[in-house]
Amino acid sequence: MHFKFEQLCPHVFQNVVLNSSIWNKDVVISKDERILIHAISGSGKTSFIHYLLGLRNDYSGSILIDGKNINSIDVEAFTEIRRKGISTVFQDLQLFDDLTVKENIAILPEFAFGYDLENAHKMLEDLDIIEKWEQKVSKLSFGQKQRVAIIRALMKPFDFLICDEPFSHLDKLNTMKCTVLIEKRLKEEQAGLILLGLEEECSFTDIKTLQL
Amino acid sequence: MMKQLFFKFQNKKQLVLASLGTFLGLFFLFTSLHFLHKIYNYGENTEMLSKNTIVVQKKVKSGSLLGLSSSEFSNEEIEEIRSKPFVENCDPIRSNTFKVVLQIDDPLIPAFNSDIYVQSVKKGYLDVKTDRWDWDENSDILPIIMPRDFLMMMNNFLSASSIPQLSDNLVLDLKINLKIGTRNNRETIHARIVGFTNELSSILVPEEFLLWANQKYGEKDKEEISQLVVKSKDGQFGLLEKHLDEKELESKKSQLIIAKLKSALSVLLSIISIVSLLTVFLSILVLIQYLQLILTKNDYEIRTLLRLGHSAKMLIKVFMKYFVLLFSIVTLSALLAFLPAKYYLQEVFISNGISLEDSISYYLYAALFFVSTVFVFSIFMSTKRRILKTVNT
Repeated sequence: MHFKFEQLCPHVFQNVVLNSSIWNKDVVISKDERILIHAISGSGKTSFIHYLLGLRNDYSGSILIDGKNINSIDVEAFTEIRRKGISTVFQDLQLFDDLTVKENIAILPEFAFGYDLENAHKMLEDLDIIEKWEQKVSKLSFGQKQRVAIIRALMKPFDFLICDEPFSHLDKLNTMKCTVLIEKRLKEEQAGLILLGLEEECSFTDIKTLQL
Repeated sequence: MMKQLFFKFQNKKQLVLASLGTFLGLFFLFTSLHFLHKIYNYGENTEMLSKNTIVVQKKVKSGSLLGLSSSEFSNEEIEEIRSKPFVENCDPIRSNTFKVVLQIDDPLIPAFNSDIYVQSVKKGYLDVKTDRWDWDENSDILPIIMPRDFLMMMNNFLSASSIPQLSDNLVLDLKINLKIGTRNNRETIHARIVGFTNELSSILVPEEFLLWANQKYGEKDKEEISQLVVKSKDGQFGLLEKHLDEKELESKKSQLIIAKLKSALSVLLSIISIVSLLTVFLSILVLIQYLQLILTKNDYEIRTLLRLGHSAKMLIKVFMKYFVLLFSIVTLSALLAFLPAKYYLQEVFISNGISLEDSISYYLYAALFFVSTVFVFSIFMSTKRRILKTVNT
């Protein structure tokens, strides 16, 4: 699986001079790559993720997934891409506050090959929040929620893991623990990583930085 | 888990009111449509006098009582009626000149005996299959046609004895004996009812039987002809009625009264059906509005599930399952409430001399199919439109 961006530009930036290596450029990101997209506030980070997931189309240029324009992919085919091709850690986490941690993970439409709830339980243990397993997400701190969102994203099958500021509320130790977990899953799935953040550096190895 | 997620913030009051509205609407719709159909068909299959046929007799005047005018028809008078261009046929109604006692010999009802008189008309005036109306001296069973007045009287007798009343179908199976002749020369004839009539007050028997019995057991030399059966040509019934008026003849009006009664009841039941249908649709609208509310409240949940890779089809299925189950429970309850109501109303009709056919009308099944289809389609389209809209937000 690979993404190709051809002269992609949000409508709101149409008449703005941009110093970006993505907007108004031709860029290819393939499955074997790890990309850190450095995005300052207001540079269109959330819009970019929504474009990748086919949730919005208020842009000029085009986005192609495996050579196919995402605007021509029908609803069912895109569901399949979201189900097996792309896994996302959203900035606002997109968890269900009224469900427990366990239920938030169990609600996934499909687990990665060889994975089940027991593995999720183990991941929680690795990230020091095992005692939250049966607790409602609404009772968790934002940092704890962030770790649950990361685990949920890792439990799915994926070709690309897209993370929008996944460690924003985590300390260095927990960031490292999450990074190890993500690295392991990237290897297992032989998947690419698109990491969006406000920082120019990150804890991942072999990562290429692009400016948004 | 999906159900727990989607239906956590429910305004139960609105749901209960909408379900109650649907229940009442469906209940009245089923009941009114069922009885509309049954009333419409009342008498269609069991009424034995054929179309455009009436029984006429002379109007009773004070002169008749003094012997100044006769209530009998002469051959000339019969011929005169026959000669009219609007009359297809006219024949005398023959009566018994012997004594007849009707005895019901059936475990369904207590012993019942009554002096009666019997009459016969030619086959052509009856809507009865020829083989069911045949009789000869070797026949085991005598087919008879029962006047509805007699059936009503019998039901009143049963009701007064705290015994369930008889429907048309049950009466058709009764074992009946006719004892004919005098005490010294009596014969028992086994009879079976093949149909009903509103036109005559006497029991109708095949003409062959009456001729045979009059000859064998008759107590008078000459038979009196006080009633005629007249069949008008198609579309000329009005001319016949006008002629009867002019000649001071009268016909039994029960057929007309029944037609008027059927018509009035049909109008009333049609209005109830329409109001019920409107109630059902309004309640379905409230349910759809409730669904829209749930979908709006679950906007975040739906969007997140779609982003996680759940298909729109699967989410539509969750909502469909919930509302179709709710509708099925309401519909089933309305059907269960309809059954005792049908039984009760049927009893009321029977006690008023109107015996309706027992089976559930296919109008009810048609209404059930129609309303269910509208409901499922509306729910499906509302959910699909909303969820597909959420996919792209």
